[in-house]
Amino acid sequence: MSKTWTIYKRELGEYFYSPVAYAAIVILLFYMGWKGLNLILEAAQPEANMRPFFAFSPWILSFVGPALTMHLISEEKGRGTMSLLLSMPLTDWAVVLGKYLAALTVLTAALVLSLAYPITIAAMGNLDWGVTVGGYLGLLFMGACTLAIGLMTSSWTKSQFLAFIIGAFSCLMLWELGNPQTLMWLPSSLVGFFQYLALGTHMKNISKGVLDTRDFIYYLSIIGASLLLAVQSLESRRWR
Amino acid sequence: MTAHNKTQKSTASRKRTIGVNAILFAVLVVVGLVLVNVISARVYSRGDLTEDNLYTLSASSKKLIKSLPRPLHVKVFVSEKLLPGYRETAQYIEDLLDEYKNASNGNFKWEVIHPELKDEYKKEAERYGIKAFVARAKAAHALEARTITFGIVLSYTAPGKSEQVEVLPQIFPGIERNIEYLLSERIKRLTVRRKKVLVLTGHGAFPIQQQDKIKQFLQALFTQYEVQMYPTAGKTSLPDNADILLVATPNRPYTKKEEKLINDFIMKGKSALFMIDGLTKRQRPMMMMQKNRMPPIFVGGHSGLEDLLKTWGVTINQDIVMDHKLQIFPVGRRVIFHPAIPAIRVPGMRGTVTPFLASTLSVKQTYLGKGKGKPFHILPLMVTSSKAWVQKPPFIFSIQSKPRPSEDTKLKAYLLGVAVEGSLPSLAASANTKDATGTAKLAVKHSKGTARIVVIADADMLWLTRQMMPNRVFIQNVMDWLAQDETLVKLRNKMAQDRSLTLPDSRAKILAIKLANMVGLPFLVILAGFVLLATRKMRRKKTEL
Repeated sequence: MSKTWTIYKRELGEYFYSPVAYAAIVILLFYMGWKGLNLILEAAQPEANMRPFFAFSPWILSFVGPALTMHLISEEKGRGTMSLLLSMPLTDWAVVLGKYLAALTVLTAALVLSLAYPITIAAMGNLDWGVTVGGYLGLLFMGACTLAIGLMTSSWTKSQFLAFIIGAFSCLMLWELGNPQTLMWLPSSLVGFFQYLALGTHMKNISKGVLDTRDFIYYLSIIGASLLLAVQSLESRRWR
Repeated sequence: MTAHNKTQKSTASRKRTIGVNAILFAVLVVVGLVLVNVISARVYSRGDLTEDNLYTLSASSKKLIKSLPRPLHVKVFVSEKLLPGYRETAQYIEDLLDEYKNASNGNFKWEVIHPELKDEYKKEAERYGIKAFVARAKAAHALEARTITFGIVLSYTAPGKSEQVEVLPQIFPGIERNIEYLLSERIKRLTVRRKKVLVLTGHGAFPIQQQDKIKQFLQALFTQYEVQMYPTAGKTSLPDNADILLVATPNRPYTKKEEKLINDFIMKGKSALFMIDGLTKRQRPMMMMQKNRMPPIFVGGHSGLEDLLKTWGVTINQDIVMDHKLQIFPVGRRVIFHPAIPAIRVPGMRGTVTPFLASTLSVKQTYLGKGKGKPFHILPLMVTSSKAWVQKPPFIFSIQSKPRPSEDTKLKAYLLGVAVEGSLPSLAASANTKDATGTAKLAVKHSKGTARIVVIADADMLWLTRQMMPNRVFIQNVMDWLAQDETLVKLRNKMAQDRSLTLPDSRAKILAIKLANMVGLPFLVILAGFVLLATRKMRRKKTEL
């Protein structure tokens, strides 16, 4: 655990002394503020309800997650510092987990800052904080998934750009699977399966304020599987 | 084979083994995760974070379902192939019905029937009045339409009665918010005896020629009750099987005899809803000539029940209440201003009637005076904002511009509705009266047990329940409170929760709020970044020095 902590501290420091974290946070906040708040304030009958905000915000996470993680392993691989890092008395899991938790902290910081939006809305109406907390939990878990996927794709290549493209594409695909327009083209026997696979389906439930073990198990499975594949990718140096 | 080759081969073989093991491990973990997901789809639990537990079966539904004396059958007629949106709704309803089943004593049974599978199913659905309809959902570039069946039937056979059926013929996405109310309300209607609401007629409050229509309207409003229109003229007592009285502003005052009838009814520990303003409509000859196009004039009036209500600590004034929160609201063909009256939480009633109602809408509202009651409580139920004022009658009921108080008018909050609960004193509490045989006897001094009355100084609020959901919920909740049966109150309130935003008056202020959030927040993050970077540089310089 202490090894994971060491990696975590190092990566977190890197984040806040490089423009990456700031750019990601600024883009995330700007998009959430612009799209989410506009949807609430410009509605025909404006309501103190954050659900429109939670309906659109996850989409941007498909880009922000991979953007935050694209450099984590691929950059080290490109620079050749990865071999150095792995030659230290660290397990592959400690490296992956430390980096992942650092990215998760940055994302959490961005989400905490975005609490300014529900506070603004609450000042103008009777906001249901239960739904809001649910929505934020959903955003956090969904963001955690996109980070895990981004980290996984970062472990596959030396190119940050490629890692970002593959990561964002994977997240978007997982997001789009639950889109009614996409489901419309599928045979009805497969609809349930694809709907379950989609990131958005589970987010939709949580953002209503409903905490369902099915949704959390799904998110934890995606995170677990992605991190495992990232570790396996690092370990592959031993057998490739 | 050289030693070098052997070493190379064994290394390659070891690498292959490690590789195969690694891949096998990854595959096994992924398969394990899939299995966990499959199991979790069957064994799961749900928590509800919403303030009023919107998505959890409420305690009152659980209580209702637990006390089912006989089996209640629910059939969900739903097409197999649903459009997105409808599919999620169907899933939600199935989960909810499962919750009902789990909370029941085994007497709640439900099943899903796909009508397109058998002609027999289709005919059964049609027999219950569930017909296929065209459902629409957004597709990539157009609306996708599909003919589907989606309805719910609840059937119950009470002891000694034939099967009773309640039907929800069409279900649409979005019904999730109130489906529990719709189901529980129907279950209660099927399984619990309906109390009787007696609507007093004969004084012009409910015109005789429209009584069938009015009864229909009231029955649709008070679905949980049996509504009976009851002319009081010539009656010596009110029916014993009635539970609640509904008394509206009369055109002709009630007589002393009728006042006593009402008093005697309440003395039995029963309840009454008085919707009485202190006004009377004055007919104008011009109005008759111009086919009702002239607005009516209202003058101060008497209901004949003033003494009775005073006994219970309530007085009705004759001035019309205005509030700075006036709204334009169409009534008939005219668009006029009405005072929107905010309802308040009443701790004495544990907030059961008005917990989520931000405002109800009243028309030609007068105000009430409240005395002190003992051994009963008088609780405020509806008040205006603190910026209200009154206008003396006569009052022409057609406001073309927003009324404003004159400069010297004192603004304050006015009481518009009260609830009275407890052992209510009799109108003739201290007087000796004679019964039908002429024998002198002491009148009943107080009501038997706990009597409840609600007085609202506005009769028209009842009619606005058609257009105004908060009014509807308010009146239905009041009726349930009077019936001392609050099973559906909390469920109803779930639907009526007011969450409207009070936006600033000017566009500039709204824009400022948006900009502060959209640009201000990211700007602060950038600023924090620069500060952090500058601090780091300074620290580095210091270290170099």
